[in-house]
Amino acid sequence: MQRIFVKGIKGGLGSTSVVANLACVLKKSHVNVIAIDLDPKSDLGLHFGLPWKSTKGWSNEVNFEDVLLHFHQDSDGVIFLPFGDINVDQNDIAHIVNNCKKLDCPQNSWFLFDCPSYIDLAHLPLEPNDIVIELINCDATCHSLIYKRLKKLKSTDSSWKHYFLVNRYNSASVLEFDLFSLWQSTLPLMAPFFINSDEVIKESTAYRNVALNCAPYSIANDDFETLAGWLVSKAAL
Amino acid sequence: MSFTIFYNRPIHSTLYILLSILFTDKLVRYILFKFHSYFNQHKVNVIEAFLMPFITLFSSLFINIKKNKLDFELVLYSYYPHLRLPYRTYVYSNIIRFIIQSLFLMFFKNRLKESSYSIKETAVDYFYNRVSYVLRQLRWFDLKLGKLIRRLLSKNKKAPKKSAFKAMSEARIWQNKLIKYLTLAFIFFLLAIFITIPFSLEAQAVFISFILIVAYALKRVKGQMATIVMITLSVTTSSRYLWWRYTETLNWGDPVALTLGAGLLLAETYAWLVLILGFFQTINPLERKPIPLPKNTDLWPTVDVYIPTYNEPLSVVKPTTLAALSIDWPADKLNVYILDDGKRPEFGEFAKEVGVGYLTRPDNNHAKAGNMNSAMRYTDGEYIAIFDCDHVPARSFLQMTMGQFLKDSKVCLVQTPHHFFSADPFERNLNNHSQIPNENMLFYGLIQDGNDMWDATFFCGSCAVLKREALEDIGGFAFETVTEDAHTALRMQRAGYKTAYINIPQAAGLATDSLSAHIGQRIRWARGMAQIFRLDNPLMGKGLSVPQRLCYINAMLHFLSGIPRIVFLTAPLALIYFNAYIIYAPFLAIFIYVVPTLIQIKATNSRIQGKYRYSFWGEVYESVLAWYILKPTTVALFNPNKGKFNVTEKGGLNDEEHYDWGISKPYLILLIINLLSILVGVSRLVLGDPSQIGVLIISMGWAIYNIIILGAAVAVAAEARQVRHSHRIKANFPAGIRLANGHTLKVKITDYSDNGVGIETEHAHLCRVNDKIELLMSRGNKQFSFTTHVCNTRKKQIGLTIKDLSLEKQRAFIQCTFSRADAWLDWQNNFRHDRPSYSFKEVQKTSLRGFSNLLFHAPRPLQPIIKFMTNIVIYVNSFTPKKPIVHNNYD
Amino acid sequence: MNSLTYKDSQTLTSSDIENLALRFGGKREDYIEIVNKQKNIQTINKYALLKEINNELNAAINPCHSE
Repeated sequence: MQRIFVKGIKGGLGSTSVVANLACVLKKSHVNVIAIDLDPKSDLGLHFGLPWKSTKGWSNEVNFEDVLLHFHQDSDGVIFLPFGDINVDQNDIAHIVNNCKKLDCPQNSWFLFDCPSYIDLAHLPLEPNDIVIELINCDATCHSLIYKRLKKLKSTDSSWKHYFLVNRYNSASVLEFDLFSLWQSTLPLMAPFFINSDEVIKESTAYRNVALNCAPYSIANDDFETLAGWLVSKAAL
Repeated sequence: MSFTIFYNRPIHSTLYILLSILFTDKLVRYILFKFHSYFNQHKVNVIEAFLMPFITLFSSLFINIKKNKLDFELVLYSYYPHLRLPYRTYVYSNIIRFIIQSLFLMFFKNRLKESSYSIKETAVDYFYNRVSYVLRQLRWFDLKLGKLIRRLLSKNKKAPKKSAFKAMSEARIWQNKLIKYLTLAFIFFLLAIFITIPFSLEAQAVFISFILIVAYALKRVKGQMATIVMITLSVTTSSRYLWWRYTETLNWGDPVALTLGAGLLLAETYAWLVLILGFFQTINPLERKPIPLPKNTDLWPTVDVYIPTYNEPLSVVKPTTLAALSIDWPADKLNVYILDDGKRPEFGEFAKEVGVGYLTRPDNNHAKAGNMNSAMRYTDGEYIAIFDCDHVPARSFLQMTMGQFLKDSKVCLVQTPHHFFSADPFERNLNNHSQIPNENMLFYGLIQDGNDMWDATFFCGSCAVLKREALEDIGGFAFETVTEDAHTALRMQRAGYKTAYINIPQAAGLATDSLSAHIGQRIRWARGMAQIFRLDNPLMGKGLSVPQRLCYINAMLHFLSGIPRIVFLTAPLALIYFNAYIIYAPFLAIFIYVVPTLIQIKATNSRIQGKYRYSFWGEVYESVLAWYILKPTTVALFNPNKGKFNVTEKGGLNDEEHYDWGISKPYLILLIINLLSILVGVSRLVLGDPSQIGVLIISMGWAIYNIIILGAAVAVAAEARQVRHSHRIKANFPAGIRLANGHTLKVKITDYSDNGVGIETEHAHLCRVNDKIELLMSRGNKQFSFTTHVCNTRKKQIGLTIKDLSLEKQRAFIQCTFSRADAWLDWQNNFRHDRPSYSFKEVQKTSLRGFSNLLFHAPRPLQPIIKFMTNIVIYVNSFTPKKPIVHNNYD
Repeated sequence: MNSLTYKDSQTLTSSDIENLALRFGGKREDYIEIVNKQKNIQTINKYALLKEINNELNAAINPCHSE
């Protein structure tokens, strides 16, 4: 079992669509993928074709046995769990993460957690094999946030594998190019690639699908394959 | 049939009535109908038209014509495709064609595929099966032979896994000098016996056929050991041949024949020497691998990159400079300098703009060598990398080469191959770019690797790194000759330094753009080599090992090939014109000595050089140059200080197709006298002494071979037009595009030049001309984006132009294209191993092209004669049998 | 799983160095991608925020590669 936690370093960096697409790529290489929405926005379901009216998720239930009823499967075979519409606190989130271990699933299953940007990593029950991908964009705010995060990571003993991944990269922008070059050569924990900015990622949600299915010939498709391949090489499975 | 017709056409009606007496009404109508159709539609004369229906009727008694009629026409059409239409107009010639073709069809299996089998066909099949059975038997024997030899050889190999060759050479026994020399002496003694022992003709025939059989069987065996055996066999046979020539074939009685014969013999001796030295040189190519550098870049040495230029335009120097700047080497340890002997202010400005050094000097003494010597006074890097201003280096250049220096402090030079992305004049004029290995390839693919084995790598003036310390040791670049590069390396080797060659193309440039410029360059090299030979003879002087001396001598001999080549091109004429027996031996002896030896040598060379030089092409290249390097080498041999450095012009174009009569003149003369000799030979065959027929035929065969080679040489002289201003380079690497609407597409870059890129998508792209597109290319982990415009679209192909890039972007573009580490890797892998028969066919084709070029460009007064001659040839050719046309069943 | 293990992106991460190493022996890891330190300093100096952050962290952050 490999657990991947995807979160943005700040809000609105597109972590949900990264989770959805990553889940789809992994599923296509015939592994068992379970995506779990930890974000109160509860929008992961939208990417997997969950009906708009269905708003319930794990936060609506108290017992984990009841939570099982809320697991869905999309047309590609990805199993996912929506958040629901009840407010929860950090402890509940930690609880559900732990409970997922109890699920009876094949050894080579991948758990993808779509975490909200504000979540405190220290409160999550992270283990040494877990991979945390913190999404960043090439802008100045992220630059400052990255250094803050690095400081924090250094001060606490973080045992998990932590990586920064650039999302929505557009090399035509001078600032983005400059920042990315700088980060790539100076920052530790940078993933050695990036997700290109691509219209199709936005569009695919509108079409109730993932980029992978909408535009198999796009660079975004390749980027997610790269991400998946890289994760596999980092995974402890 | 009503009576009105009777009145209208009396003859017809009479005929009708007459026929009705003999035949039924149906047949009569058939006869008349056929008669009309033959007479009116096919314009056959009356009698034939009248007889034809009867013939058909008569034969219909025996054959079911109706059933076979369609088939017959089809068969005629497909089995005899070259019969002239309409058949009747060319009856007599068609009959001959028919007979020849039938004979051809009978003896070669050319049957079309058919589904049904009759008894006749099975009989035919049986016949063919017998024939193929015999062939199979032969092949079986051949296979067994190959297996036997392979087993014999692999037995030797089994003992140590390490190459037997190496184990032998490293054995302790050789420490003892006495044993070493005794063994060597013994080997030479044996060899001498093998070479000098006189055989009777029969014995020689047996001996040579045995060698040929072994060589033939070895053809299938891979590996170094088999090659060495082949080389040994070739050395033995060729030496035996030469010995025979010296001892038995000089005609002392006839002074003319003796002089001419001696000339040929000297040329043959030269060829033999070059052959033996060549074998020695390439017996075990080193194929050096790059050595990784230490991880800590602080340990890396400082490198100066020199880009000497004299009169080349800035557009040529620019990419080189930008690429040199982006070589993967710590920026503080990499200094690029433009050494401008042209002293042009715009170069200075450009250098300042991109941040490279710009060096000039007050005088222009000693050309390139002087230029670099002067630059050495201003720079202080530990190593000096040199790129001709049109050689764009790959970013990995230094990391691939510098490891050699760090591993062995005695190494003073690391050379990489010169690769040209544009077609050289040979390739362009013959239109065989990247189909047949070019002239350079043998040298950089094989010979340099061979030289490296003997620590005798040549410095080629560009795409190389040198150690400053070593250069200072020998007093800077040697400037006494016009080939400063080779001379510099020679001096460093004399001073005890080692040289290395890495056969990884890490830079590419423009080839010379016209044949005359190409020849000019070769003349310079030839002259330079001759100068070195006189001024600093590698045979003499100290510091070199014996193999090094041999390698240098071979290189120099190579440039002396002018005279011997011309001798070979004219030798058969001596007998035909003057009846001079230049090889004074009976026909059979000549046949038994010459032909098998040649075959053996060709086979060996094809084996060794197969990937880098196809059989017979060496002769073509050499023939083109022979006449022109003859004079300068000779002059330089006698007066080495004459001659100045001329810059090889590059980067230009030929505006229109033209025929370089000036250059092909010597070959035209040779060609004409060779052609005439065939006529003379034929007339002598018919009218002359019958005892000479054998020798005459051999001479004429040789002359025909010469004509083919000369034809190919002449073909080179037709200068093809060069269309593009900037050369498109074929490529195959991934990239992406981002359209104006934000969508992205995966693409493949299929070609690029300095102002455009060709891409291919797998998918519908919806791009239109003049659309603005972001092209995303990467270098390492970095992605660069370039604003481009669509200039043309075809199905899945899109052509993009790149305009007005900032300097920074230009640099990035060069990094993503020209200076990719793998940009030039494909050049050697594109070629299949040589197959002599195929190669000879190609030479023949080229030769034919040469002739047709000649005819096409011939002066006007000669045109009618040429037209007449061509028609004759075409007519004669129409008689040769053709392959039947194959239809597939769905037609 | 197997299909992903060594799968690299075809589009932008397939590297020329990999091709080079593939063809001529040696390992891809032997090749050292050079860090253009001057360019980095330029970038930092170009943007005021970056400069500020850099100054603040000067001692704290030690530039090095992780991956």
